[in-house]
Amino acid sequence: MAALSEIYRALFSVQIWWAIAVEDVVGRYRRTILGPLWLVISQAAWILGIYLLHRSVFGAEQKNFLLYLAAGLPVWSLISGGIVDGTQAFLRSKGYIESYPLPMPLYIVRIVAGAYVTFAHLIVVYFVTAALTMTPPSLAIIAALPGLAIIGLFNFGVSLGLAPLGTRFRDLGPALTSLMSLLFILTPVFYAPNAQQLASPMVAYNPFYHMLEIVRAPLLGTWGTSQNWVFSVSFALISLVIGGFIYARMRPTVAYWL
Amino acid sequence: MPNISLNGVTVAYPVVISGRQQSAFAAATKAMSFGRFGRDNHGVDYVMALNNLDLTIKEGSRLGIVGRNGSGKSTLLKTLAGIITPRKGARVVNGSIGCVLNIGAGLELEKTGYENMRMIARLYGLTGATLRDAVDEASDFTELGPFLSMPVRTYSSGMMARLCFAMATAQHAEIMLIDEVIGTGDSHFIDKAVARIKTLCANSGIVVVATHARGILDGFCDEAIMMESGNIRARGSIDDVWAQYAA
Repeated sequence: MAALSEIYRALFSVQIWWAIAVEDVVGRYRRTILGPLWLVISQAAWILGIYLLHRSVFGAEQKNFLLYLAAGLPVWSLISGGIVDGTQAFLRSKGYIESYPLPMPLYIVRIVAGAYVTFAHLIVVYFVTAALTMTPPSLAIIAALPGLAIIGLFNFGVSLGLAPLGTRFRDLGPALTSLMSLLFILTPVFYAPNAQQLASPMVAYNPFYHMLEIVRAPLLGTWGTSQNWVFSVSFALISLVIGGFIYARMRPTVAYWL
Repeated sequence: MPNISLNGVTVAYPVVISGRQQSAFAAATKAMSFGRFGRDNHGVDYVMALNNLDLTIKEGSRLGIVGRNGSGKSTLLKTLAGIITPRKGARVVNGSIGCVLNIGAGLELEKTGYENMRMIARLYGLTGATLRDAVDEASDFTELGPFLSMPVRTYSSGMMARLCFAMATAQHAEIMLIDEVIGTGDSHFIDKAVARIKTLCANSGIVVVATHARGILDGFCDEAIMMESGNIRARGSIDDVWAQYAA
């Protein structure tokens, strides 16, 4: 299948997509002294704000909660960034697409790689918080690596489908941004769910919650439940299949709608 | 043995006029209501850029494409390059493709000349030592000297054109597709540019050049085609085709 060979070629053009992905993140902060450190600072400010709010409501020092935020927010950025930027993947690459005969999935890999570059900056806050609160990560942290890989596969699959759709239908991007904003509140990202919330469908059947947990839990010292892993892997596979199918069908006409 | 052919190729560009035509919600509403809810705008209009076109180019060809503005020259080159997929028909290609189409795409204004050249070289598929050599060689060609270490936003448009042209012509491919790129530049540079394109052509199996200039045709091509409204109206020697084009 032509689409599969194109995806294969795109994945192996590492030099190209990695260079563009790094430039996407780092280029935003050119001509500033702190550069990408601003990403870290803005994340830290967010976490501090929510922590102070939480403390004013619930009282008492809650270092565990601080670490919970520092672990969860970067992972949520990784997941939602991949989806929201996914719809814009081809639109942002219009200049490249029209001038160079490169495999189109390259521009999607670039988005996914860029999300990882941003994540690498943001996770610094977690390590700094762990150091400051004297909570060293446990052995379970190694499970975060396959967790990140699964999220990457999910992002890639979803973006494969969303990128051509987002080019053909321009309101898909803003619609998904709104949806992810809603999900940010409904998914336990900046609050720890109680037992009742955990059992509710909004959390139990929320794929984003499970993908969040397969990285957040290892960062916080546990391995994540088997339900988290099963759901996450299933969603990654489903997104790859559906995304690949949509991409294969829409790929011939993408360039017309840019 | 590089060769490239288009069989029965049709390329039609959608012309989007209202946001409604590219709205997922409008499309969904229309579909779910079986056409009841949705402004009757007859969908999207299409411009037929290439109309059931057949073209075969064999190894060793130096083909020039002439035609009036809007006749489909750039679309033909993009379809040959594989950048545009035809709605109908097939494209068969053997050999690597290099294109010099919209030069300047991918230029990052905040990065230096060298950094941009390396990036563009990567986009053209060069790697490792080949990339380094190509960048060095192109740097000498641009004659921009110390400017290459400065951000491209400090360049004049002519300097940017030189940089982009140098990199675009540093690639080596069996099939070269070139779209009217020798535009800006002083006369000294244009002489160098023409010589550079000649070297590029000499190293390639197939060269296709779209141009309005007779001089370019005489310099680089041994046959020509004339495009009109998405069709090839003539194919033959440069003199014959030019006579039809200029008439």
